[in-house]
Amino acid sequence: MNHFAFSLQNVVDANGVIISVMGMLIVFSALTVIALFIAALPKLLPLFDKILPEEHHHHEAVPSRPADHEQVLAAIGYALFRKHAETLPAE
Amino acid sequence: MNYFLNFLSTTAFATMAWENLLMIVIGIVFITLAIRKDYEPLLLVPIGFGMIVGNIPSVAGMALSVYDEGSVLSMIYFGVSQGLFPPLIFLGIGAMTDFSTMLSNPKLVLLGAAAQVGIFLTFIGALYLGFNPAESGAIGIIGGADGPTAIFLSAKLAPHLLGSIAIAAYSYMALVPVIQPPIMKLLTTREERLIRMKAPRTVSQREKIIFPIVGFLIACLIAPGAIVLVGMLFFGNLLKESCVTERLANTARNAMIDIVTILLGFSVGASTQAQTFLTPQSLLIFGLGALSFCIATAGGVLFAKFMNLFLKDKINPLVGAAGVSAVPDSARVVQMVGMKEDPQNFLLMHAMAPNVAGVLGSAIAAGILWSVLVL
Repeated sequence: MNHFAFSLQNVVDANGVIISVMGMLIVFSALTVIALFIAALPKLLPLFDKILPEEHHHHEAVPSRPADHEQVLAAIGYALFRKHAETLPAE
Repeated sequence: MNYFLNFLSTTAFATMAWENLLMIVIGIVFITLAIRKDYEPLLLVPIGFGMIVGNIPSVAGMALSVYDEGSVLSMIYFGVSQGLFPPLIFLGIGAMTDFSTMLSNPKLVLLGAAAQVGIFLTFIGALYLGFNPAESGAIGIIGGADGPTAIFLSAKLAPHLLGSIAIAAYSYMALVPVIQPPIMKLLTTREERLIRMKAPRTVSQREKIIFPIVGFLIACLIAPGAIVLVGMLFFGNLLKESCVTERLANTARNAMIDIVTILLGFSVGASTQAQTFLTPQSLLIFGLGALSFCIATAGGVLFAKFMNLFLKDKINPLVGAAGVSAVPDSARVVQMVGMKEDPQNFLLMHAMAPNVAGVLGSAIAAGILWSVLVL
């Protein structure tokens, strides 16, 4: 670096403006193409489904069944009732 | 007696310069800010302590500092100087990033691009001040508000400025809650700050899996210089979203990123020896860094206002400020400023879209600057 050699000529010599405009345009184009792809993705999904139909495999989390919840809740409720009954003075 | 006198001459008291003392004080200030004010503690504590360690004067003949060949610190610093740590951090960031908000509202991606104007205007500013093109590119990337990207690019383009650039980038990232709100308020009206945005749609798992692969292909076919950073970011995200590599994703976003952050923060701090750090160049870099942050914030906000001229569903322009890629701090700032006007307006989810797009944008910008300026 030339210490404190402030000059617009430095920018001109290094093609600073051209590099900056080009850089911004490339960043914008890359992200615009990505944005367009994202916007089109929901419409492309049925196409993907035809080529690679969705499969449910062992890695997916197994959804819990409502029946399980009911049984667990009943068990917890019964245990709490027993504990509560034990601590109450005998009437 | 001679041995004792010899030993005394090797103590740090004998060789300590006032510049080293000043750097030690700055290190203590960093640690204090992290602990008392909660400013980026995960970064400022390692960097601050590293600054203290790096400014104990070395003993002649002993390999101690990051700049002494064969020293332990130089081996840790190798990950910084060769650009190894930043891509590993990107892997972890990818494994913890949820692109759902971006996928549900793709137009917000453009705000992440607009905020990168800070990088390129600062590049011009640095050239004007007399830095050479490679140095200017490395300084400009501070405006990306992304520490790992700044370190990666300066390691490639201007290794001698790495300490100053890294400290400037991380300091300003920590100061996002201080720097951004005044600019956001200055550039928006109250009515604009009150705009409520439509709730994002639900994104399917399939979209989340396809995106990192296609997103990488698009970004890196356009700007191949971004392969390392963008590749690791999307690879990490694929580990997360594929649902079959949960162990790897967990390691990347927890243990690995923590280890790398410790090593990176500490060694960057230790590289700020007063003799190499306290120069007029560093002052200029800090000035340019602050300017680039302000320009990036303004760029995002103003572009959101520009987009509103054409959109039916208006964007709250505050969201544009999250285009600087300090994740998730700038998104949190958007939420905070938005809630001051309307406590029921939740902008955080919307702000995360330009925020992650900003990470992508700054990595692409770094790739462009690297490929243009290194050739």
